Amino acid sequence: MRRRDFIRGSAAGLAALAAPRVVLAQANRVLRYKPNNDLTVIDPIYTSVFVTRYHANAVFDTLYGQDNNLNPHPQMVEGHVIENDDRLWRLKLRDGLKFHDGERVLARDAVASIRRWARADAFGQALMAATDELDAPSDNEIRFRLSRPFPLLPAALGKSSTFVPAIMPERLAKADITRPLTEAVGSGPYRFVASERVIGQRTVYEKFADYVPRPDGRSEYTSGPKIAYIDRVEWRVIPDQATAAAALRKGEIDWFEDPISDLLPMLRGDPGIVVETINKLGNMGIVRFNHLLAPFDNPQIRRAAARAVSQTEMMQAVAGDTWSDDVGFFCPESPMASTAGLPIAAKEPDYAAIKRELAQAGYKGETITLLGAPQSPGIQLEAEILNDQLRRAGMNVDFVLLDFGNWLQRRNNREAPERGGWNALTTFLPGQELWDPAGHLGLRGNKLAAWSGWPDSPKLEALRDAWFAAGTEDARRAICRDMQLQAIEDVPYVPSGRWTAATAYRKGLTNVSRYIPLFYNLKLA
Amino acid sequence: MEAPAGGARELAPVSTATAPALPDIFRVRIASGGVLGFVRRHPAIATGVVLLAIVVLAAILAPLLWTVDPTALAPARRARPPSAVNWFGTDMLGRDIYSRVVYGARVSLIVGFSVAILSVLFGLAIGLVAGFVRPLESLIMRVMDGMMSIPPILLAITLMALTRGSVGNVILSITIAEIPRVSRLVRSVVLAIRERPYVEAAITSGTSVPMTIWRHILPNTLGPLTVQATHICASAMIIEAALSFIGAGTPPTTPSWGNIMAEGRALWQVKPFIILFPALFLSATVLAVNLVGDGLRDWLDPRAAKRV
Amino acid sequence: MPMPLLGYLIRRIAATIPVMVVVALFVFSLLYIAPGDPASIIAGDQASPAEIERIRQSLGLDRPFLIRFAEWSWQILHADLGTSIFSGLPVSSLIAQRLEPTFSLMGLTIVIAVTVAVPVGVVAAWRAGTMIDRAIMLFAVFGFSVPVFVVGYGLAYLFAVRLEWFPVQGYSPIAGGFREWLKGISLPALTLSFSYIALIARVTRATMLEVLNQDFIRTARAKGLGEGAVLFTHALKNAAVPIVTVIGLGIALLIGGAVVTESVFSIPGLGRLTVDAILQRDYPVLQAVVLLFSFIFVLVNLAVDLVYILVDPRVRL
Repeated sequence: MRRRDFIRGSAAGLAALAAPRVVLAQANRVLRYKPNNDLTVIDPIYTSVFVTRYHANAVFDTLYGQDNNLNPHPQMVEGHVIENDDRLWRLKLRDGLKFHDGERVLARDAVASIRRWARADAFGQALMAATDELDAPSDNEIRFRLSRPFPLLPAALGKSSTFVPAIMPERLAKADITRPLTEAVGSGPYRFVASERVIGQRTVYEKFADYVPRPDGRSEYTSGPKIAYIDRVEWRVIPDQATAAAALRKGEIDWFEDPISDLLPMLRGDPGIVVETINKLGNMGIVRFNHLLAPFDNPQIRRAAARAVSQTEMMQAVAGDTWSDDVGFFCPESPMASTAGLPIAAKEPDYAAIKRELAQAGYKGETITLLGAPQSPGIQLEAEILNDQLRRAGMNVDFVLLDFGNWLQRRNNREAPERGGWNALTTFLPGQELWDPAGHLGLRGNKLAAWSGWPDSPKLEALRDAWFAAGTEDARRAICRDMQLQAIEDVPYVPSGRWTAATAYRKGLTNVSRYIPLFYNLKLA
Repeated sequence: MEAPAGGARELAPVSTATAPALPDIFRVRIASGGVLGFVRRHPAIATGVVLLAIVVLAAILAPLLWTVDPTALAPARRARPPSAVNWFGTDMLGRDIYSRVVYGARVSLIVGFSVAILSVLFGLAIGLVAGFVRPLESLIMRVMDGMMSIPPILLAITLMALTRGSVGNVILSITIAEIPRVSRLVRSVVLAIRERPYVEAAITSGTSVPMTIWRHILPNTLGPLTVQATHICASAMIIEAALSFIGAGTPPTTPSWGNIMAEGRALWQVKPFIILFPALFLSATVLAVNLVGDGLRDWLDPRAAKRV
Repeated sequence: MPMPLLGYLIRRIAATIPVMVVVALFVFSLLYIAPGDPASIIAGDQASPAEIERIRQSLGLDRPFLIRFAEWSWQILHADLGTSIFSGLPVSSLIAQRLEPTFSLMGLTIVIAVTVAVPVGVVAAWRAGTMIDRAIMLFAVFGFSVPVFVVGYGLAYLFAVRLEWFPVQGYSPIAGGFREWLKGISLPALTLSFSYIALIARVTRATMLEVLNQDFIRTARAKGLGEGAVLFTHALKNAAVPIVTVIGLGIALLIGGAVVTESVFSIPGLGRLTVDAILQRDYPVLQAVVLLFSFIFVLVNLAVDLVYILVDPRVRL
């Protein structure tokens, strides 16, 4: 069988946008943007920190990109051909692509980059598990020989969430993966200006003049023509929320990525400022139990405790007013989300009943060590509410507050609480990461290899494998429904609601991307 | 600068009579007049004591002062402005700020006074040893230099990392940072005073070192030290707020004026009441501490008293 | 007395070396026993155990304490401060970038604090017990009873947002023009000087009160000297030792204590570098910064002691 299969939607809407050359005629424009954190790691495949992802999307290009509905479209590749019963994929690179160091982008750069990425990324690992051979038969062809069909290959190579499958020169991609790259050379629309970087103050990007935008398709999110209208992008590190708000109002910065919800009314009241929720997928709250230790090694106790987690209360505390409760294990906007088995907990749980259930399940008043991290407001506020909820359910909670670095480390400690371990903690993941099982950290049941909490659920793992192999969207949806029901049974974690955060920028800024801050296609008057 | 010569001439003539032993001062001062007379002569001290007493009483009697549980969460009623129900409004988790401020007095006072007392005691001891025991002076002062060069914030976070966020850790880390400052101050006073003729005379006439300290050094250290102690007490409460600002102060489950303000800081423009009330209480307490401190200094220092 | 002075200087500077070694060892061991693993911090919130392990190995954090300390000391002896665990940049350049903002902030703060506080303290002592004295002392009390971030927000709101005299945040290097530099650093320095003005003014007043009461002042007045001369030459000179001590301590306090001001005004100074390094467990950066701090402290204290000698020759070397 031999068929030519361009991903759906890629041909839709030809480029109605101005040709890239026109941009040069415009005056020098500088965007001053305040990120949620300072960029410390410039290696796109080293950390899950958000700003590194934004950086990765600015500096590096990807073989495929995502549209506004997160469907993949060819980006650096012109297209692909699938042969041999879906077991051979041949990806053809576009002509004229260049790295920021002036070198041509070759297929072997892409192959080395994919290998580097797949060693760190879970989706990449799944892809590699299905791949017998990955090579570059010519300068512009990338070839995957698969051992079994992997229909989600473009989705994997076009993901925009952590880790971004960034294409970089072979010399960098082949460097020791245990060490972070200290050079950021990509082929994306913006060039990282290493010489102007001051840790704790600013990060600078300049438009890459030799970037060749895709000639076809519509500019949506990370797909279609990526055009750099702004000549220079300066990230300004402003650690203080109140100061950042004042700086935005005074026009010292153009874009304040992460104003806390209580500042929004003031910013909305300023005629020069637009407040918008670009990431409608938001963040999803997570209550994680340690499956290795009593009492949460007992699934009955986990299920009873899960019923104490009122999402309504959690969200009122964390989010102010833009939130939803009764959410399940997938991002509500994802086609993979369903209401199967929901809600897990009532809006106002019957704590007396939960107390009885806990007793029946065998809870004997063991101390629950709950971790909080005051430096991370999201984690801390959830933890304060969880502390309250578990206490109301009659659990004996020891609420331990740690500095964030300590929290991150202690979370990985599998020992008993008196030897530095833990029983319960709270955190959150971006809705985008909970879009489907591919990158969903919280739904893994591979015990010690899983995200802290170490749930052991062979059934969840089997469903996940089946999902990768499933050939149709409907089949994948059905599997995700089952995963949700299985998760309610096994409680790898308890969903604690979903909230969205708004971003604020000066009126002159237009074409602000969805989901995460992107600097191409963005216009500044 | 003609300082050296001139300074030597001018500093010298202070007679033994103007530096009487400490017990005398107490006897003389307390004996003269009742409470009313005292208040009339020392309005500042009286105001300070009354203010401080109010705060201390509020801290002790917190549960009786129409407060609710300061840690009770009510997310549905978060960040509400002051009302008949929540006199000072509610914070980001819907906790009652009035109750938190009243209970917070406990923590802030404990932090302030513990740090002041501990650092003055240790600092005084170390400073005296450094001032009197020549062979040890250099060593002690270099160790103090070293201690001082470690920022209190680093100590606070490290202690928090070693155990967990707690009031004890806050006190310990601020105290460690303050001790060298006190000891340097004490040493500088000792160095200046022990050269005075009456002190040298006392030493040569066989007065023991403890007695010299008691009779001559302590009375002279008391003035600057009291000022320093009141400053330490006040600044400890402020440093606690700064520690909360970076997340290494007292944990939010234990309300203190510092962490109430730190938690509400981003909202100072939109919800100023969150910062306002603890700031008012803190200012009033600091004011009281200082009034008492200044008053004590004037009271204990006969020369200052004579002049006023 | 140049010879003993020179010997004294040499002895003091030689004495800084053991101090710095002790400080380095102390901080190194504190950090070693403190939990908090840079690998899990770099990997971030969404890391799997395998990713954290990969990073941990790359950092060499699994090696014993003494070996790491020895390696680090060896590097230091070769004037190599190492590289940051997080950014992979040389520590020396990270610190170098921060020196100018830090010294600018410190310098201006001290200048503002001393020029305001000393005269104010002298006046308060001179007019002790009057309304002027009370007003000054009341202001001084409020000066340090309001947390520095509240002062910062207030000043920023008034002078930057409302009056638009200064920028709200950011640091502009002195190479980019003195005016711009001064504009950028004024509000932070003013904010930071608030509590030091209060402290120095109070100490000045207290020591001046002691001095003004002594006989030689009465003598000076009797000789018909003007009040200004009595206060500022005779009295202040004799009150100088404690005042200088406090100013010196203030400088010491400023280096590490400016963190909050630096955060409020987004000044990329050493304070924030330190706190970020602590929070991220970026050991090489932290080690170097603490070492630098101890060096500066020792120098400042040395300077203070030299001032003692200048103003009061009876202080023995």
